[in-house]
Amino acid sequence: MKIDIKELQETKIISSETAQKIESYYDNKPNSTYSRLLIVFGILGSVLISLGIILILAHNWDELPKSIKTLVAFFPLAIGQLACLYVILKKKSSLTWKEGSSTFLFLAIGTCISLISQIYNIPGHFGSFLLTWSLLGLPLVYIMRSSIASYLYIIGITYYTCYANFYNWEMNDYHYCWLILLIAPHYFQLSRQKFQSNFTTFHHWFFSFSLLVATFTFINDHDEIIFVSFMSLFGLFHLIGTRKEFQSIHAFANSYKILSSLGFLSVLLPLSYNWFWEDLIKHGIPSNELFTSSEFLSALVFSLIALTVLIRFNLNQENTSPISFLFLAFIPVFLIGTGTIISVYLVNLIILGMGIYYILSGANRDNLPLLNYGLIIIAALVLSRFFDDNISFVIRGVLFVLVGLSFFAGNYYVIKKRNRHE
Amino acid sequence: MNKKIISLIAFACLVLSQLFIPIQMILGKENTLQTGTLFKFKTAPVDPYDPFRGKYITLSYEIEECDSDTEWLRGEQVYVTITEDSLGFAKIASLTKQEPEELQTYFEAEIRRGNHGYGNLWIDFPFDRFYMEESKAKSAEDTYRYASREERLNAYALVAIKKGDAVVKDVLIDNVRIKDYITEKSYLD
Repeated sequence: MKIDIKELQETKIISSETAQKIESYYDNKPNSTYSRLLIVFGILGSVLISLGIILILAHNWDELPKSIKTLVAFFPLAIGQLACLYVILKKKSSLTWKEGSSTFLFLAIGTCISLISQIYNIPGHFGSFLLTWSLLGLPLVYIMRSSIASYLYIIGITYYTCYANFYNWEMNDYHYCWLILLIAPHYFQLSRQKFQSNFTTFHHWFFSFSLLVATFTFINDHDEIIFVSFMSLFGLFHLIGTRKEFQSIHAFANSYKILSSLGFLSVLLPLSYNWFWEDLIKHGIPSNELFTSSEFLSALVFSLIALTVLIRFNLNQENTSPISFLFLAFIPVFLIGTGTIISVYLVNLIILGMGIYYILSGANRDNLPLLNYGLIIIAALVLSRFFDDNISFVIRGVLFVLVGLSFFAGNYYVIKKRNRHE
Repeated sequence: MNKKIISLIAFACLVLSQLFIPIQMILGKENTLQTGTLFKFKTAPVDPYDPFRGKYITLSYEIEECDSDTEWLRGEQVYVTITEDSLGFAKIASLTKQEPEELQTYFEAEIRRGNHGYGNLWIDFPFDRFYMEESKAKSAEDTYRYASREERLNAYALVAIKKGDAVVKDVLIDNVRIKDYITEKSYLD
C-alpha cells in the first residue's frame, strides 16, 4: 500500500498531506485478524486457567483447617471480580480483556459454590446449583457486555432444564421459559449492532439450539401434540432464517435455516408412516388437562409467535416461499389425523411438495445445492416408502429409478443452463 | 449519570450478590455446627457397586428404614425429629408432615419409598455425602464398606442438627476419624 501511495503522490493524484493522512490511518488501525486471534486465545486461556484452578482446588486438602479451606474457596471468585473491575476501570475497550475476565469470573462462581459444598458436605441438588450459578453469572452479560458469558448462561439454563425435567421425571419444571427471555435483550442488541460478527453468529446457534433442546423437555402426558410444537418452532426458525438480513451471511452461520430444514424433515418423515396416525385415532389425545398441558401451551405460543412474524415481517418481503406457511398447514393436517387416516397421505404430499419446490427453486435460481436438497427430500421420502410394507416392490423399485434419474436430469439441466449463459 | 459510574454501581451489586450466596451457605452451616445438637448416626452397609463417587463417600444409615402408621408417599417431604437411644446413637422420635415449631432437633428429608399406611418406609436423609481427599478415597471407601458390614465395628456419622438443617461433621469408626483410621489401621486386620 505504501508503494501505491507513493505512486499516487508522484502522479499528483493525491497531495503529500493526503498521503500522510492515509499512511497514518492504516498505521493506527488494529490488525483485525491479529485482534481476533488474540481474543480467541485470551478466552481459551481464561477457560483453561479456570478449569485448572477448579481441578487443583477440588483436591480437597484434609490437612488444612476449615477456615483456610473456606478462604481458598473464595480465591478464584475474588480474582475474577478484581479482573472484571480492572476491565471496567482501565480496559473497557479491550475485547480480549472483557471476554477473558468475564469467562474467568463466570466459571469462578461455580468453583466457589462447589468448594463450599464440599467443605461443608452439602449434598444439594445439581439442578438448583446450575440455576443459581447461571443466574449469578447473567449480570456479567450486561455489565461487561460479554458474549462468552452469554453462551455459558445459555448452556447453563439449557442443562438445568434438561436435568430438571429428564432426571426428575415426576416433576415438570418450566423456569426455562422466563430464563431464556433474560438473555434475549443482549442477543437482539448484538444482532442489531453487529450482525456480521462471529459473536452474533454463535448466538444464533446457541439460542436456536437451546430452544430446540428445551422443547423436548415439554414432552409430558400429551406427547402427540409436541409434533405441532416442533413444526411451529421450525416454522418460526424458517421465517427468521429467510429474512433479508440473514441472506448476507454465510449459509452455515444461518442456524435458523439449517435447523428448520433439518427439523421439518425430521418431524414429517416419521409422520409419513401409518403407525403414528393409527395410534392417534385408536387412543386419541388424553383430554384431562389438555389445554394446560406443556405440549399444548408450547404449540400455541410457538404458533402464535410464528404467525405474528409471518404477518408482520415476512409477508412484506418479496417472494415469500410456500415453506413459510408449512407450520400453518400442519395444524389442520394434525387435527384431521385425530379422526381419519387421510393425514398420512397429506403428510406424504407435503414432503413431496417441499421436494418439488426446492428442485424448481434451485433450477430457476441456478442453485445446485438447493436443487440437490430438493432431490434429497424426494429421495428420503422414497427411502421411507421402501420400508413401508403397504407398497409393492415393483412400485418401490420404479420410484427409486425415477429419483435416481431425477438426480442426473436435475443437475444436468442446471449445469447446461449455466454453460449456456456463459 | 456517567456510564462508568453506573457500570461500577451495577458491578458492585453483582459482586455483593455473588458473595452473598456462598457466605449465606457458610453462615447457615456454621450456625448448625456450632449451636446444633450432635448425634451419632449408625451407618448401614452400602451398595458395594458404587458407594464412592469420585471425591465423596455415599453415606447410608440404619434408621433410614423405619415404620410408621401414617401413610407416606414417594417424594413426599417429611420432618424427621431425632433423639438418642440407650446406646447413644440417633433414633427417629417422630415423622411429621408439618414443621415441628417448638422442637430444635429435626431436619427436612424426602420419602424414598412410601408405605401406603402400613409397614416400612424408606427415607432419604439429606446428609448422605462425606467428601474425602482423592488419595485417601479408595481406602476410605473399602474401610467404610467393611466397617458398615461388621457388627463389631461401630461406624457412624457425627451430624449436627438444628431446626430443619443437618450438617455432617465427620465419619468415625470405633470413635476414630475415618481419615485417621485408614492411615492407622488396615481394614483387613
